[in-house]
Amino acid sequence: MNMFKERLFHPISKISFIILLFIAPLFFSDSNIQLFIFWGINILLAQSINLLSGFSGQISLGHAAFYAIGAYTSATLMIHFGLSIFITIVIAAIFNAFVGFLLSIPARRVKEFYLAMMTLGFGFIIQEIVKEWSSVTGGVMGLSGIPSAKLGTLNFFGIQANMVMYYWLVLVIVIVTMWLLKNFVQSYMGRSFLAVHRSELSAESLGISPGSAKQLAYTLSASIAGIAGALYASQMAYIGSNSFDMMQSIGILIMGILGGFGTLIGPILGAAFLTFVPNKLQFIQDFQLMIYSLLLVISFLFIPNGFAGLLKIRTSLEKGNRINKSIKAIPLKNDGKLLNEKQSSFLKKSFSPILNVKEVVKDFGGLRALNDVTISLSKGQILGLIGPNGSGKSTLVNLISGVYPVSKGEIHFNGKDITNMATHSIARYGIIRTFQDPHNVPTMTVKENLLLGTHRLFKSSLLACTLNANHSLREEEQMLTRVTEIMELCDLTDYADELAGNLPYGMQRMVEVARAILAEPQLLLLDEPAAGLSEGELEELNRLIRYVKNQGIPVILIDHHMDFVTGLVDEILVLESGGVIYSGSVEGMQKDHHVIRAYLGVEHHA
Amino acid sequence: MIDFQFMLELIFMGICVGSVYSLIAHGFNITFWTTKVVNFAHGPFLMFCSMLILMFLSIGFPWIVAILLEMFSISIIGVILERVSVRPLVKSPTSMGWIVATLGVGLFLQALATKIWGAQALAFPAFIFESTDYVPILGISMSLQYLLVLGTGLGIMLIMELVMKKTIWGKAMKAVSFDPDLASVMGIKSKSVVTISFILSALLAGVAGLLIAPIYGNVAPDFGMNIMVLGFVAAVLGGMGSSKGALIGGMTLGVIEKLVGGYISTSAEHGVAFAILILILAIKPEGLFGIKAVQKV
Repeated sequence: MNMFKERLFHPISKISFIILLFIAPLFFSDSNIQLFIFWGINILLAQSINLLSGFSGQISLGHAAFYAIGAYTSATLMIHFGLSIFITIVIAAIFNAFVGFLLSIPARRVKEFYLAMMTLGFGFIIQEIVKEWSSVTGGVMGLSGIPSAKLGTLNFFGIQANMVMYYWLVLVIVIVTMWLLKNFVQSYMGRSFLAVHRSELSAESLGISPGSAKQLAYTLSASIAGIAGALYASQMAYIGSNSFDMMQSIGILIMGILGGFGTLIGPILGAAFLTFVPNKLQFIQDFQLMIYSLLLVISFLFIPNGFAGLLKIRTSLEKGNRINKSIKAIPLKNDGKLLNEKQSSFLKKSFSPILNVKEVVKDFGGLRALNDVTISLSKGQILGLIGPNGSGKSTLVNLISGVYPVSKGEIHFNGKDITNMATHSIARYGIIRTFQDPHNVPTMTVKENLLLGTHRLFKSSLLACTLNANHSLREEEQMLTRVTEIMELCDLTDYADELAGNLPYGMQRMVEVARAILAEPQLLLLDEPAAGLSEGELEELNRLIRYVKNQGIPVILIDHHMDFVTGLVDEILVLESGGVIYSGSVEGMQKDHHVIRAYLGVEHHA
Repeated sequence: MIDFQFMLELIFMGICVGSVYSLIAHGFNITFWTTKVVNFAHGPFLMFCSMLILMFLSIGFPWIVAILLEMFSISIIGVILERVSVRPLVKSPTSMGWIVATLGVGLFLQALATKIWGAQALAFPAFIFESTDYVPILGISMSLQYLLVLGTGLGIMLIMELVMKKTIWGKAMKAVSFDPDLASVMGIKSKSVVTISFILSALLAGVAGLLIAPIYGNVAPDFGMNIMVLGFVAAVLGGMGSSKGALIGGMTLGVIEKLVGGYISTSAEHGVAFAILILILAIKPEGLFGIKAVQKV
C-alpha cells in the first residue's frame, strides 16, 4: 500500500496524470466532456467547503448561496456588459470574497448549531432574493442566454470556444486552485485554521486570533465557490433559482464529508462520487435526495474521515518536503539557535520587574476566586505558585493570559497595561501558557503541533504563503530547524510524524511545553506541567524548564509536586482560598506556619 | 383610525403565528436542556406531521384518530432519531456530527414526503373552525382559527411549564441537563430521560404542525425547513433554553414579521427574521432571557 501510494504521489506520475487529463477530452464524447467539467466545478465547491468546514471547522449548511452569487454575478456581467468570462470569473471571485467577509462579521462570533442554523438561514435568504429580485436575476424564470461553449456563444479572446476549450479552462483553474490551496494549508495560516477548529482557546494561547482566522476562511472559501458559480453559469447557459436550493448546499456538504474533510485529496474523491455515480446509475437519480440524506446520517457514524480516511490519505501541513527538494543548497544565516541574538540579550536577567499584577480580584458570580493578589516578576526568574485545590492558582494564570476578565485590579507586562486584553493579543506580547490538560491539536503530527508554536513569529503575507515565495519558504525552513532542535532536546524526534492524539499522555504534555517554548515566550506560564508524568518524563521536563531559565525567560510554575517545584523556583507564592498567605523564598515557606496550616492543618488545643 | 385597526389586526395575527414559533422554539429547548442538542429535523418533523394527518384524514379517519395516530408515529420517529443520530454522536468533541446526522434524518423525511405525496403543496382542511369564522373583539375581527392556535399554543406551554416545575419528571430532566452522569449516580435513568425529551420535543413538533397547517392553508414537503429556521430565530431571540424566552421570542418575531409584511412587503418577512437572527447573535448571543455561558478551562 505504501509503495503504491509513494508511486501514486511521485512527481512523474503526477505530471503524467495531468497531461492525461489535458489530452483526454480529445477522445471523449460531448456528454463525457460535460461530465468532467462538472467534476471540476464540484471539486472547486468541495474544496471551498473543505477550507471552511474541514479546516477551520465552521459548518456551512447554506454554501449554495456563495455558488449562486458567483453564478449570477458572472452571468449578469456577461449578458448585460458583454464582459469576457476571464474577467467575470475574477470579478465573481472578488465580489464573493467580499460577501464572505461580510458574512463572517456576524458568523465568526457564533459556533456550533447557532452557526449551522445561521448558514441554513443565509442559504434560504439568498435563494429568496434570487427569486424576488427578478429585474436582475430573472426571478423564478431564471436567466438564459449566458454565453456558453455548449451553444457556441462563448468567445475566448475573440475565438469561438468549443467544449474542449472550456474543459481546458476548467482544468487549468482547478489545477491552479489546488496548487494554491496546497501551499496555503501547508503554511502557518493553514495550520492556524486547524488549530482554531480543534480549540479556539488553545489557538489563542499561541497568538492566533480565531476571529481573523475565521474571517480569512470565509473570504477564501466564498471566493472559490464564486469561481465555481461563474464556471457553472457559463457551462449551463441558463441558471434558475432552483439550481441553488438547499439540496445543492447539502450536496456540497456531502462531497466534503464523504470525501474527507481536512485533506486535499478527499474532496476530489467526494466530488467524483457525486458527479459520476448519479449520472451512471439511473435509480440513484430517482432517489437522490433520500440517498443523500441517508449518507448524511451514516457518514459520521461509519466513515467519519470519509474516503480519504478509508484510504489513509493525509495532507501534510508543513512544507518540509517541498523545502528539502528545492532550496537545500542555499545556506542559511541565523539558524541553529533557538532564540536569536537580539532576543537573548534583551532577556538578560535584570531586576526591573517585567510582570506586575496589582491588587487583582476575580469574582465568579458571588464567589471570590482571587482576592487582592499582587505579584511582580523579574526577567530570568522562576516563580512557583502553589496552594491547595481551588485556591485560585489556575485562575491567576487565566487572568494573566486573558482567558478570564479581571474583576478589579491591573496587570502590566513590559510596561504595557494588558488588563482584560484578548488572549491572542496577550500571547502576541509574548505571554505563552500551557493548560492543565494538554491542548495539542490531536489530528496534527508532533512536528506540525510544534510548528504551531512558532505561529506568532511568522511574518510572510498571505500571497507569499500561497505562491510559495522564496522568502516564505525560507521562513518555514527556519522554523522547521528550530522545531527539529527542540524535538532533539525533548527526545521527540522519533515521534515527529506521529499524530499528537495517538501519543501517551506524558508525551503529549512534553509536546505542549515544547510548543510553548517554540513561541519564544517573554513570560512562560506553566499550569501543572508535571501532573501525570512518570519519573523519567519529570526529569526531562525539569531539563526543559532549566533550559528556558538559562535563556532568561521568566516562568510562573504551578504544580503540586513539591520536590519538583522547590528544585526549580527562585521564589514561591502560596495561595489559599484566593488570598496570598506566603510569598518569598522556599526555605522561608517550609517554616511558615500559615503554609503549614493550609497544607497539614493544625491541632487546636483547648 | 382604519390604519390603526389594520395595525391591531396585524399584531393579533403576529401573536397567533408567533405562538407556533414559540412551540417550535420550545421543542428545541427540551432537547437542548437534556443533551445540548438542537434537532435539525425538527422542521421536517412538523411538516411530516401535517402530511400524516392529511393522509389519515383522506383514508377516512376522524380528526381525533388522525391526530392520535400522527402523534404516535412522530414519537417513534423521535426515538429513532435519538438512537441513530444523537446518542452515538453527542459525545464527540465537535457538534458537526449530530448536526449533520439530525439534518440527514430531516432531509430523509422531506424526501420521503416528496416521494409519497409529491413536491406540490397540498390543501390542508380547516380544523374545528372554518377559515371564514370570525369574532369581533375590540372592533377588530379575529379569526377563530387564529384564536384556536393562540389558545392551544399558550395552553401547551403552560402545561409544559407546570410539568417542568412541579413534577418529579421535570426535576429529573433538570438534573440530567445539569450533569447526566451525576444524575445517573443519583438513580435517575439519564438515558430514558433523554429519550423522553426527544419524544416530547417530537410531540411539540406534531402540535405545531397541526396548528400551523390550517393557517397556511396548504403544506408542501419543503415548508418544514423554512419554518424551523423561524422557530430557531424565536428561540435565539428569547434566549436558548429559556421557556419565557421561547414564548416572548416567538411572539415578538411573529408580530415583527406581520408588521413588515403588512407595511413593507410580504416577501421581506423572512428576510427580517434572518436580520434579527444575525443581529441578536452578533450583539447579544444569549438572547433576551438566556444565561450567558461561562467558558471553563
